[in-house]
Amino acid sequence: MNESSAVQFGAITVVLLLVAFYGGTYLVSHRIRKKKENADQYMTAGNKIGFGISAASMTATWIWASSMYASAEAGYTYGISGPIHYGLWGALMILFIYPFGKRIRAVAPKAHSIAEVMHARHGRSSQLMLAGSNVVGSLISLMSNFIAGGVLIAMLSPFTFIQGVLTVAAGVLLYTLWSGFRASVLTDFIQVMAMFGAVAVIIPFIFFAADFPAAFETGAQNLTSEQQSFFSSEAFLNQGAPYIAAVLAYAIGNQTIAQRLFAVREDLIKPTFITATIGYGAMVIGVGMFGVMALYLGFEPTGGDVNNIIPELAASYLPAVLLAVFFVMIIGALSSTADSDLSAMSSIMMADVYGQNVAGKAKANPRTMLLVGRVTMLLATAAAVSFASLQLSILDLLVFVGALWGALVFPVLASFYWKKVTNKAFTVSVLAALACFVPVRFEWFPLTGVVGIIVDLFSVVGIAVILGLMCFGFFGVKVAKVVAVIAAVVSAPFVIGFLHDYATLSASLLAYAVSTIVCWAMSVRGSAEFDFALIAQRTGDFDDDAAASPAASSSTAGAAPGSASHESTTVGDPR
Amino acid sequence: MSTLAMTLYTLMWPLIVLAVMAVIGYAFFADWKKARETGQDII
Repeated sequence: MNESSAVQFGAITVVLLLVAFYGGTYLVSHRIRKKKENADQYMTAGNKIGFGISAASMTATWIWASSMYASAEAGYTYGISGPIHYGLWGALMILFIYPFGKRIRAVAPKAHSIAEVMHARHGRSSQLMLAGSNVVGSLISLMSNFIAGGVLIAMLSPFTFIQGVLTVAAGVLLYTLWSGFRASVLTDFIQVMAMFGAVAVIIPFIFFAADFPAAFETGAQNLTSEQQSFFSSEAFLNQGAPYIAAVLAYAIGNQTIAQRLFAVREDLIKPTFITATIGYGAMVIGVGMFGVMALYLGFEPTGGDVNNIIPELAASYLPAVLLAVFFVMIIGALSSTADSDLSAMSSIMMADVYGQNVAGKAKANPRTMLLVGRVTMLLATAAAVSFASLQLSILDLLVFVGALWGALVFPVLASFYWKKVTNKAFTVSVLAALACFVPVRFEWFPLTGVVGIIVDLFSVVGIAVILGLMCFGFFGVKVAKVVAVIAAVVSAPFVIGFLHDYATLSASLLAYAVSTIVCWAMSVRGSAEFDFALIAQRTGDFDDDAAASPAASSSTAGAAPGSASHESTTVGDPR
Repeated sequence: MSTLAMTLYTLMWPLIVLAVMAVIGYAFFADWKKARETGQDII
C-alpha cells in the first residue's frame, strides 16, 4: 500500500473546477450557436468537418471514463498484458470500421445514421432494430459516464454521488442542448486536448512518485506468473478475446461512430480513423498502466472496488494541482462521450423515428425535428440520471450490449455489399441470433455434453466470420474467404470441447455465427437484386435552409424539402 | 520483462499521446486558419 495520504478537494475548489470546465465549454459552444439551427447540421454538421476536429472528436468520443477505469481494472486483474487486451482491441474497433465506413459513406453520402440507411436499404423492421439497439447502447453509455462522474466527485470532494451525477448531467446538457452535434464535436477538440495533456503529465509523475522503476523489482512478488506474462492466456481469454469478438459489433452498432462517419469530409475518413485509433490506444493503454502499477505496489482499492484504483492512486500520489488536472481529465473524458451519446440519441429520434417513421421523409418538418432532438436529450438525461442511481455493473452491461450488436454485424455489412440480402433475411437472421445468444449468455441451461460441443462448433464459425469480415473490409471477398477457412481450421482443435466454459465469449461468437448462417441461407438463392443507387436517393437532408447550411447549398443546390430534394444527393455516389 | 523493458512499456504511451496531440492540434489550427481566411465557420 502506498504511504502517501489521499488528497480531497474542498467544496469551493470543486465548484470552481466544474464551473471553469463546463462554463468554458458552454462559452465555446455559444460561439457557434445559431438562433435558427439547421436540423441536418444538428445531426451531422453538414457532412464536411475537417481532419482536426473530426480526429479529435472521434478520439474523444471513443475515450470515456469507463474505458479508463476498465483498462486499469484489466491491468490490475490480468497484469502487464491487461491494458493491451483492453485498449488495443478497443482501438482496433475504430480502425476496422473505416473501410466499411468508406463504403457506407459512398452509398449514402448524406445520411445521418446507419439505421436510416437500413431503412433505405430494407425497410422499417431492420431500421428499428438497429435504431433501438443504438438507443439502448447510448443510454447505457450515458448512464455509465454519469456514474463515473458521480463516483469521482463523491470521492474527491464533500459532495455526494447523486449531487455529482446531477452536476455532470446538467453541465453536459448545458452546452449540447442547443447546437447538438456541432457543439459536441467542437467541444470534443478542447476536451481531447485537455485529456491528452493531462495523461502525458500524470502517468510519468505517478510512475516516479510511486518509486518506479524500482517498484518493478520490489513488487514483483505481488504478481502471479500469469500476471507477469505478456502473453497471458488468462488475459486473452477473459479480456482480449471477448473484445475481439466485439470489435466490429461496437463499431457497427454505435451511432456515435456512425454520426462522425457521416459528418467528416469524405476524403478524410481514413486519416481520421487511423489517428483516432492511435490516440485512443495510447491514451487508454497508458491509463491502464495505473492498474499494473497498483498491482506492483500491492495497492488495495477501497472496498475491493477496482473502479477506485485510478482515483485513489491519483489522490495518493498527485499534488493538489495535478489532482485538479486529473479531475479535469476524467470529467473531460466522460463529458465528451456523454455529449456524443446525447447527440446520437437525438439524431436517431430525429431522423429514424420522427423523420422516417412518424412524419415521413417528404413531410418531416425541420423545426419539429429540432424540437424532437432537444426533447430527446432532456428525456435521455433524465433517464440516465435515474438509472445511474441504481449503480449497475457498467462492464457487464457493455459486454452484453456489445455481444448483442454481434447479431447485427453480418446482416448490416452484407446489406452494403450484397444485392441479394432482403429485409426478411435481415430481420429473421438477427432475431434468430438473439434467440440463441440470450440463453447461452445467461447460461439458462448447462453448456455441457452435446450442447457444449454444438455451441463450440458455432463458435468456430463465429471466429471464421469475424476474421473473414475484418479482412473483407481491407482486402476483399477472396482473401476474406481464405482467412475465414484458415481461421476455422486452425481454431477448431482449440475451441471444440473447451470454449463453452467461457459463456460470454461463446454467446458472442454464437450470435455472429447464427446471424451469418441464417442471413446467407435466406439470401443466397433469392432473386433480389437491390440497386444501391436507391440508398443515396432515399437518404439525405431534411432541412433545405441554405442560409444555415452552406454545405447543403453546395451539394443540393436548389433542392426543395422532402423527397424531391433527395434526387440531388446522388452527387458524389462513386458507382 | 526486465525493469528497463517495463519502464519503456509504461512510459511509451504518454509519448505517443503527445505525438497524436500535436498532430490533431496542428490540423485543428490549420482548419481554423483556413476557415477564417474563407470567412466560413469552422463547424
